[in-house]
Amino acid sequence: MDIQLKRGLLDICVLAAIKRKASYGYEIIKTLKPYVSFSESTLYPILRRLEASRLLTVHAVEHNGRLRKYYHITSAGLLRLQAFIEEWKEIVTVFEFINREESEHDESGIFDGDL
Amino acid sequence: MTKAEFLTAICRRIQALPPHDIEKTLEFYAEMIDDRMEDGYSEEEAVREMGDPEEVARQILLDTPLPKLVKANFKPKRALHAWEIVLLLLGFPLWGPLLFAAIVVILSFFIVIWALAISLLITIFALFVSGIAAIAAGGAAFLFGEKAPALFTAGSGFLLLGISIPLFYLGVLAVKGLVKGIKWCIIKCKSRFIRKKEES
Repeated sequence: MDIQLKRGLLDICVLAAIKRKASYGYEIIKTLKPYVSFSESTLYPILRRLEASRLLTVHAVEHNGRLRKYYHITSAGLLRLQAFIEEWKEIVTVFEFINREESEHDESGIFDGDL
Repeated sequence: MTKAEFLTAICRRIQALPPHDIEKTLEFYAEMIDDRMEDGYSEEEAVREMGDPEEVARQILLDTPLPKLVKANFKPKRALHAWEIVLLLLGFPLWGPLLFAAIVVILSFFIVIWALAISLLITIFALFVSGIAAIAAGGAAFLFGEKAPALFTAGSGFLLLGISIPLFYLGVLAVKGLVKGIKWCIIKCKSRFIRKKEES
């Protein structure tokens, strides 16, 4: 997949993973594992970026005698998710058009060959 | 590799970052390793899942904006003495213009590169347009004037048009190469800057 596209998608994946309830790093990775290949070194810059653009906030919570960081989505983060879904609907419409044209073109291509 | 070894290895390689960022990075990786160990991984396995510390550190540094790196590195280690501040102020007429000149030189470098790219594309476009013009002129001359020079004009028009089309694709390739080259230069500068800091 295109690197820029994947980068943008992963940001959204992380926001989606913390949408219902605040979550911590390892849990986010486990949540996303079935859908995208994802590692700690991918997650860290994403979390930094999302925090810097105020799409999520960080709170440390004590767990087994150490601190664990929980990531909370902000209202700006929720808006970003919504905007993504709207954008994607448009993209899907365009994709359906491209896909249809592509398959029709293939069929007519064979027909032309016979003539 | 143990957790402590992994964290030390990363810490050593991200010294160029501001102290606050170093601390946050180490906390993050410590938490990830602890969480994995709680999940049943052995320490060795948990650390292995993090990847190669050198690569991890490199990614973090390349992901940090250059101004932040510069700011973290040019922060004076101690407060400036009063006489140093006075010298800096008195010396401003000297180093001010020098700094200005340096900025202007870098800026003009970029302008020259872009001017080169734009003039290349404009040249090709001009070939294309003059081709069309020559064909039109030739056609008109063929109808109303002498046939031979008209055919010659129209013919050279087709030639120009024909040359300009492959040249256009070459021009676009050249500009793409230029952009890639500039990006490469910036990354090169950045990693050189980072490496220098690690050695010191």
